Amino acid sequence: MDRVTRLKWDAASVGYDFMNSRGPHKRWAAPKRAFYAPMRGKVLFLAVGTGLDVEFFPSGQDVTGLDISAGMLEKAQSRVREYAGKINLLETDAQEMALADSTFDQVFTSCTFCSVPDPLQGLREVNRVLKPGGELRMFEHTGSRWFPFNLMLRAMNPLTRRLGPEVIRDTVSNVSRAGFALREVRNLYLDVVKTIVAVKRASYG
Amino acid sequence: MATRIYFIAGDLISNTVVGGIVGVACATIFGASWPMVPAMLLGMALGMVIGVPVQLLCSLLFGAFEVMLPMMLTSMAAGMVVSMTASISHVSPRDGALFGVAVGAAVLGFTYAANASLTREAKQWTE
Repeated sequence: MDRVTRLKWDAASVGYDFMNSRGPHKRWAAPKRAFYAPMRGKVLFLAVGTGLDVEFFPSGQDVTGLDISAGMLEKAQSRVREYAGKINLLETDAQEMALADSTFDQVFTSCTFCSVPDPLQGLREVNRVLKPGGELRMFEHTGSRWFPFNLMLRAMNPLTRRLGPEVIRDTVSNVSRAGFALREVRNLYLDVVKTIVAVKRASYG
Repeated sequence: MATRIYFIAGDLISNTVVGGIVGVACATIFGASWPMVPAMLLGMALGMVIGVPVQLLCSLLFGAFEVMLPMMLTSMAAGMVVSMTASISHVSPRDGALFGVAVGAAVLGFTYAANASLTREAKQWTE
């Protein structure tokens, strides 16, 4: 397990809800509900964090929620208990998941691949644990192609990467490079916050 | 609808407030004794630094990137415009604040227009 990343997110777990549970959480409530609405079958949610997104899940789902940080998972417990469905929490690294091959019908991520240190490795792991034809559904922020937003994000990145996420990643390209077939990319805010839908190719691996 | 109004008002308040604060600071610091280009560059940098705590506070209330990106742009542009103007002719702190507020409103308008254009339609692939 990546110890440095685990410690960084354990430290971030202390103030995570304070920073994210008001403005950002409320602003994205409706798009997130729509994002999670197609949940079906055996679902992996990567990374569950403090469980802020759990209230947006449709009820009655069978979800495995993983996170690298024990601190985050501890805070997620109460939200998971309130969920009207089944959520198993698991402490593991997205880059080397302690999960069997071809297990899940869907993998959901929410602002996850800005923080996985080696995003390609993480996405290859997602590909491994998805069943052939399984869906990857991502709600992510990425770098921008457009001036002046790309300049602003580049200026922010040295600070944000110390505290948590990187803000200049090309996650759409990474999804393709990890072997997925892209189905849809929808910008939600500029070309920075977006949803990405991709499927595992039947012949992958 | 109430939620939408809350966030639109939040965006407007965030950008005009940060623009105003940066405008006052730059009008106070820079004057006719400054050469224009260094004043402009230092004003941009100063605006970005001053803007950070205001951005963090507004981000708690109104959102993450949707708040931080335009506010950062406002801070930088207000710092640049007010410092450059102050190096050419006298700008009082009050005028600096008004310049900053105007820059904040303009940046927000630009960002909303860019957002409307970039989020218009999804890109889809079929196999």
